[in-house]
Amino acid sequence: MAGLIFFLIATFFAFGEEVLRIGAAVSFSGKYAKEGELLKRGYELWKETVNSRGGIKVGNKRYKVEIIYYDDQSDPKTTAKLVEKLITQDKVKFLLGPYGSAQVFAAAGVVEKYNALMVQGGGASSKIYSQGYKRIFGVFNTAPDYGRNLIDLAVKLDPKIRTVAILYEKDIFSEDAARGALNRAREKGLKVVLFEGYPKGAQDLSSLMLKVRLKRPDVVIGAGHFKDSVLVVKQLKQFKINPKFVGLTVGPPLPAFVKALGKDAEYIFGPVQWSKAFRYKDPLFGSTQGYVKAYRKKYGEDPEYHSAGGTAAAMALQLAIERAQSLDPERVREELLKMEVETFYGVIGFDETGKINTKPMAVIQIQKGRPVTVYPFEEAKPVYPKPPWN
Amino acid sequence: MELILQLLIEGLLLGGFYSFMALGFALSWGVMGIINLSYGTFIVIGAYLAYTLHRLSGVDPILSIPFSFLAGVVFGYLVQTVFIRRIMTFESFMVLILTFGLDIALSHGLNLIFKADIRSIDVPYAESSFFVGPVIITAVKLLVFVISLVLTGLVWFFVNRTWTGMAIRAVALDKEGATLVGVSPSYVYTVTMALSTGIAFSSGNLYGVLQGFTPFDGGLLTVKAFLVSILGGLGRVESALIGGIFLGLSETFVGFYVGEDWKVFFALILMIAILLVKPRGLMGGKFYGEA
Repeated sequence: MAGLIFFLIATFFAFGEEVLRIGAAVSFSGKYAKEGELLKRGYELWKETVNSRGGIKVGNKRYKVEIIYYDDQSDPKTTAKLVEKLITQDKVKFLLGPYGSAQVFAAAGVVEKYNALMVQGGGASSKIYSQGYKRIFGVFNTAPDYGRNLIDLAVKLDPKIRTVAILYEKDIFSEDAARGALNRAREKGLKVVLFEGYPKGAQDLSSLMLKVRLKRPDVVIGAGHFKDSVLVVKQLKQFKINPKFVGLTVGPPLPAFVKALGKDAEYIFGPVQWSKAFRYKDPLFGSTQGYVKAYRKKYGEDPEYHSAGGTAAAMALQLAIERAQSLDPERVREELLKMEVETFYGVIGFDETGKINTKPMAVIQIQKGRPVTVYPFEEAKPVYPKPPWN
Repeated sequence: MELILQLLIEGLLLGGFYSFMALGFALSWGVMGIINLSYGTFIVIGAYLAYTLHRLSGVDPILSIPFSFLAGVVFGYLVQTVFIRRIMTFESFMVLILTFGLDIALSHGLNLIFKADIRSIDVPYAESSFFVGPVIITAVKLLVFVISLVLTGLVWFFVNRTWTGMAIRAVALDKEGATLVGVSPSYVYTVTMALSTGIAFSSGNLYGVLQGFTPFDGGLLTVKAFLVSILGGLGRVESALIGGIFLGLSETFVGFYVGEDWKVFFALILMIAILLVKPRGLMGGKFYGEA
């Protein structure tokens, strides 16, 4: 009798504690620590919400989600090592992506080699999708869209712009974004007066700034990551360069951007993968507003696109697993390819390379210390031309 | 023409910093005959000291220069007595390996404490600038330039006008001779290393004001200190000044006309060219002692 009870309890616990481990190597230190932390928040919010509803449903079993995190220190080589560790030692079959195109790129090779499956909301370089990889899915619009969107907005504004200067950090994401801007500017008949890269991690752009000053462009586009965006603004001000339009690929939507720059952040434009001004329905959070509310409750601030991308990636994985009714990466992959589902993040659906192809991108502007969406949904009118630095 | 003037000024201002920054490196090389590969990381330590003081108690990094200097003197004394003194009488190669190891240990130590994030010391005057005619001058660079010159002047005074300074020059020129007249080389080496490290730490404050930094900036800084020493020659305090300004100008002009990526490349080419033509550097004179 006692044996039977013990057996029942044991099976009950074994049943109740069914856990699905998912791996993620994300930057918690180094250059991308800030973005990495935001990405993790997105994952965590998804995890808690799913677990509070009993977990992921696979057939008639329910799996609680557990995410194993490692810190890749913003170094792609480390990312690759950690992803290998996740797959071979921690026996993880499903992965959520790291932050940064180079990191995603490094992780992708390893995931592919071991036939695991990764959905990522942290890398936006188009190179990720040109390798013929079959097991990498991404919920971000690719890097060229970042530059393209800024130019699209700039040409719509009055007074008309004529000249553009594009500065970019030499890494795959930023270079792609810069090229997107370059090509769109040329298509629109604008004169690109400067298109120049600077080495990764550069902390002094004086010579570049002197060049920009000399060319007096109407538009300055800076393609780089968070630290670069702060640096570019500081140095534009330092060199008293006053273009009509300043657009930066990554910094502006982050609260830390305004915190770091204060008043100087005003009226700077930035593209976003996602904005809380979106209006969509969602299977897990109810709607975009529902997601925003849940995020605010947990973290005390509004979500921006890094976190939303993380949540969206995790959610795409969850929905695909549930539809496949299986934990076989191959079956889940097939479901991801078929998917076209409306979520708080936009409609999620992928092309055959794994790239999202069903969702728009927006542009925000900092107004009174807050990022507001000005394009294509208008939360507020864009302020243009940008007043000079004071 | 305005552009050339602008670039000249940029280069000059940057060069002032390089001069002072490299002074300690040139000093320990010229006097002790050692190449200190951890020198760049010493500078970075200074930057983190200034950063920490600024964060904790709001001390302006310029005002904390004396503190950094003292910390550097103590640190240099320890490095000399604990490590370098024990092996510098053997092959000079050993010191190279020792300082290389020290560099790795120190930069990773910094990484453990401060993480790999880029830090910057946000002083209120960071973004201010003004025009002099058509030329724009950033306040921070001018400030760093002036302070570098003043500090370089102080080092010049110490080396040329004080008894200890003269002892340093004497040992650099002729160790046996100096010993005969009652100068202790061991004492001089300790003073030199302490002074050299003090210079490194205090130039770290200036570096931190000029730009953001990470624990792993040391390597490039060592290369630049090396370049300045070679360009100017190890002869005198003034040679570092010449070498520094030369490097500043070359970086600015190459950065502008060729591209940011090529700055160090061109500086190294320049160094090779100078070594071929004038092996003792632009200023000549191999030792601190030579007049």
